[in-house]
Amino acid sequence: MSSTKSIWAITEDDECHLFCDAEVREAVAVAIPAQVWAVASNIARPFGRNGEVLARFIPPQSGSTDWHGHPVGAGSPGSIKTAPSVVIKIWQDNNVISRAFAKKLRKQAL
Amino acid sequence: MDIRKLILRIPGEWEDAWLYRENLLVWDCGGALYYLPVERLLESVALAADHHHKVLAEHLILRSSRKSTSEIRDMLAIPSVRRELFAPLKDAPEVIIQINPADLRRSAVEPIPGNITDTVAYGNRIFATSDEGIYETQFSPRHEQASPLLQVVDNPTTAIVAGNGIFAASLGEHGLRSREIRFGDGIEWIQTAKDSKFETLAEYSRTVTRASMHLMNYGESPLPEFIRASTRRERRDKGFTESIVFDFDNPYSIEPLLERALGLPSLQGNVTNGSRFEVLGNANYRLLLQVGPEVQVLNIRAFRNEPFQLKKTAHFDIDSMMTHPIGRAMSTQALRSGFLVEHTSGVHILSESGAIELADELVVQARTYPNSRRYVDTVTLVKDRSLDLIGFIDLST
Repeated sequence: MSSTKSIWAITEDDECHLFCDAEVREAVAVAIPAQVWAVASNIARPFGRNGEVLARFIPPQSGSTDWHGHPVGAGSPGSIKTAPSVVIKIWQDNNVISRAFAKKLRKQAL
Repeated sequence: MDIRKLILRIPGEWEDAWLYRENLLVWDCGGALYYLPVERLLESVALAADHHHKVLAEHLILRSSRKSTSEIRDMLAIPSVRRELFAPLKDAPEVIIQINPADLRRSAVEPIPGNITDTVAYGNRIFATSDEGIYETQFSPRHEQASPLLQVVDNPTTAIVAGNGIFAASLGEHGLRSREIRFGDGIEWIQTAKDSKFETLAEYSRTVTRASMHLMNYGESPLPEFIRASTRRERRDKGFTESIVFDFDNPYSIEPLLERALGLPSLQGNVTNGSRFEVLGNANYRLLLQVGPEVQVLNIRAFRNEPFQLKKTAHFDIDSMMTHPIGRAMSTQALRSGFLVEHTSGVHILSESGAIELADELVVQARTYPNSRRYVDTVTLVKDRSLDLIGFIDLST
């Protein structure tokens, strides 16, 4: 009953802006050098069609110059359901997300 | 419905809380455990408010045996007695009594390392999970001696449940893992815990819940898997017996049974009768589905020597019950008055009589105690800046 890929709920332009915004947050980029993570500022406006409030961008793969991004959350297909602990901690310490939001991400509930 | 809430509020940034064996157990953000005996908590209520509110707190939140006795039921059937008892609640939808956080006592148990994700108290053991593993200690009701904290798993863990002689925990890609809990007091628990072997019940687990003595594993699929437990009766101390799990079957997809229960040829597209549906979760042995404007309840039936079944029971028209729509569900739990649904827009209790809003924002932790004799209708909500113990009464009945 499910798709094998997570699907963006935002436009391609918004996806590009999201990547740039996340990339300039140096703390996050430094913590996870091979990935860039973004979190939705409004839980009611998720990035993905399955309610995903996270987005993960990975560096260009062979034969490509583009970063690849996809929404991530409890409703995503596959086994990656949340961001790494260190990224969640940085968001929480910088008041990007509340304690409640951080806990739900750690519990893979969002 | 004319719902009135009584809330005992402890200000502070707490992480989790349990009501267990006449104690309130609370963890702070640093993983330190605090406790407050229920008796002392009630004294704090009397001090912060008055004796009448203390009696109400005892009746609605921290039940003594009085609530269940036929004498009390008979007395409350007298309209004037009932009116007088609940009089302090009649002027506002909720009464909040602030408890001084200094009333909590720090336990000598070491703090839980990492960020706490879940806790459970069962069989005189306290388990806490965090992004650094699973931790076990022994509960002492009078806290007269500190029990060591034992790390039993060192992988990040998101959820834990315990009962019927076992605990089961969700370790993401490290699977759903279970281990027996040996009962008994004394320091020898450490050796028995160290000697106990884990069993992997499912390859991937995001969260886990109990369905009676069985388990529901929430993994990669939007639908949970059912894991049937086999049990035997065992005698425990003080003369009572308990069904102890000695084996689990392989995870079982609920998809074909759900299709049959909903009368659908296929669940493809998550649509039934033109409405999108979503599994909200299970509250003990009830599975909750949101189908368009309705919440459909299905009983999970798995009696011994009988095939596993899903059977439609109640349904609630939540569109007419709620002032704003339910967000995406994160957990569903059972309590005597209905189902607690924790979702992205808040926390509600759903029942055939209507919906009760307990929070209109994301909470750190929501907890009910369906297996408790005392706290079967009590809700614990850990919010960003307080811990609330909530009891409620419908004054229209």
